Amino acid sequence: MILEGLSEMDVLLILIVAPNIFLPWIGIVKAALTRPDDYTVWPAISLYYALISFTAIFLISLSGMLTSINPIVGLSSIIAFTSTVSAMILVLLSEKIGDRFIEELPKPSLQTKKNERIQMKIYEPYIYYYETSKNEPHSRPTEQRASQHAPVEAPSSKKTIQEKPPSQNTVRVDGQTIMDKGYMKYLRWCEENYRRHDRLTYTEFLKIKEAASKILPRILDGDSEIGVPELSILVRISLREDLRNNARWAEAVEKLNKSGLVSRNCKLMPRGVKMVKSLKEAGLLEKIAEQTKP
Amino acid sequence: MKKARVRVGGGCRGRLIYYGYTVYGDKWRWMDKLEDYGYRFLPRRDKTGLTPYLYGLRSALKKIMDEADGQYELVYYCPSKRLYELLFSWGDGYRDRIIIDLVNEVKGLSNSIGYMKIVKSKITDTEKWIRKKAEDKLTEEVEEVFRSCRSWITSEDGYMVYILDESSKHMPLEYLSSMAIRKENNIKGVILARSSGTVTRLLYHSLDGSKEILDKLRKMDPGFVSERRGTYRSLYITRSSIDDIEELLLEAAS
Repeated sequence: MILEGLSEMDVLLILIVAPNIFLPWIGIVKAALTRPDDYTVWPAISLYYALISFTAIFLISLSGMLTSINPIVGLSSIIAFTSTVSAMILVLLSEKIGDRFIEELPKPSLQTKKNERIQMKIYEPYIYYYETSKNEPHSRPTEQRASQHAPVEAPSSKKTIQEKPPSQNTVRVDGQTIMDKGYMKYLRWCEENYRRHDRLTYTEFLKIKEAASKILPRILDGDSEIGVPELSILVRISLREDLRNNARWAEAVEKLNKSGLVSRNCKLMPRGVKMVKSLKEAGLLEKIAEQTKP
Repeated sequence: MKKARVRVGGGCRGRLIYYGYTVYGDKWRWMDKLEDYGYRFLPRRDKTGLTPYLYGLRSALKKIMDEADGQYELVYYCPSKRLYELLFSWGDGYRDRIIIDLVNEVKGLSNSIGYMKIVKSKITDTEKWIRKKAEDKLTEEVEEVFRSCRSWITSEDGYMVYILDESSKHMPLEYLSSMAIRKENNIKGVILARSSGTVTRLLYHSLDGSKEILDKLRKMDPGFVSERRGTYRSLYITRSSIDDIEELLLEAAS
């Protein structure tokens, strides 16, 4: 009934325009609800679609206002235009949603092409990937240490993971997917504690891990009790902050005490002093301290 | 002739004396303001009752001398009979060099400023207040020394190690160690290290008399110069830098 009297051109225009009423909102809802490590392609699809058809909608709306056009086409164009513009405003206002849209922009086909080999990194202790452009890892010269500590993942499981990575253990850095449980744990902690601006980059995280591993071998590997927040508390104690009666960080202090880094009275112990010195050499003492500062 | 009145308060803790003073009169209006304070470490424990007042009076007269315009009639309210007699006789009969020098200095300053009247007085609330203020200021300074230095503990309820910087140079390690022991609970003792010219001095103060860490340190330290061991307190001198000593202490403690 409604479509009676519409030309083929009008139907085509409606088919282009109509998805813009709801498609950007699907992307926004998906971006808002998904976790940072769960990469969904919906924000990208909706964004691409909105960007491509935005010009068309704008022109149709403009021509609808200036010339005589079928009222249904004109109305749907105006609704789609309003919807797209309001969705874009929301994207600009919300940092989380905006990040997801922009992150996904260069690679919309990340999960659509299942058979495509995804270039990813697997963290191994004492093997470091500072240069993301190089695929070959730089092994540390100390062979003894490499032999003392077995890698986190067995070789057979690595292959399986490379083929189909578990999304909760991956993070994208510089356009590459990295699998590091320790860094993922840190990012989750950042999300839970609303820490956005003073986050450590993956390179910084690796630097800290390298420095800290000299004192506690398996530190920051995801399963270790000592994470970035605990290290931050250690650094704050070394910077003479009194955290003895601080209920918020009591658990972190207890973990540090268990590892022999601080005493029950929040005093640095020899291992803690060595750790702080090692972190100081890495030049990230202040940034680590900022992680838990209000 | 303009008038200036001086009140001095002070006290002692072992060989340490501390003092403060206020000046009020025609030029200095505020009696309730502590003008300045100070502290000294005396070589012996005797005469610590008089010296705080003498040091305080000397500092007050120096201040008046710096700020005075013309001649002044000074009034010093002397709260001690012995001090009154000492000042009245200008140190006659005393052989202690510190006291003789101080009295002579006070005499010289007071003659330069004008005329000083010494009035016998009891210890008033003002003197008590000055003493309290001077003591608080000293405690603050000591706390600042501990705040600004690197510190760590050798083990749970072990020895507290303080790596002191240059700012505490005027405070003896013995005094700082006794203050550190008072400050901390449940520790075996304290180890204080401070760079002093070409050598590093380390004071090992053990509450139970054990010298386990000191023995280990001596074995490892290539720059060892000398040590003086007491039952509880030992002084260790080395040519190694303070950072090297801290590293060695870390090794010895772990």
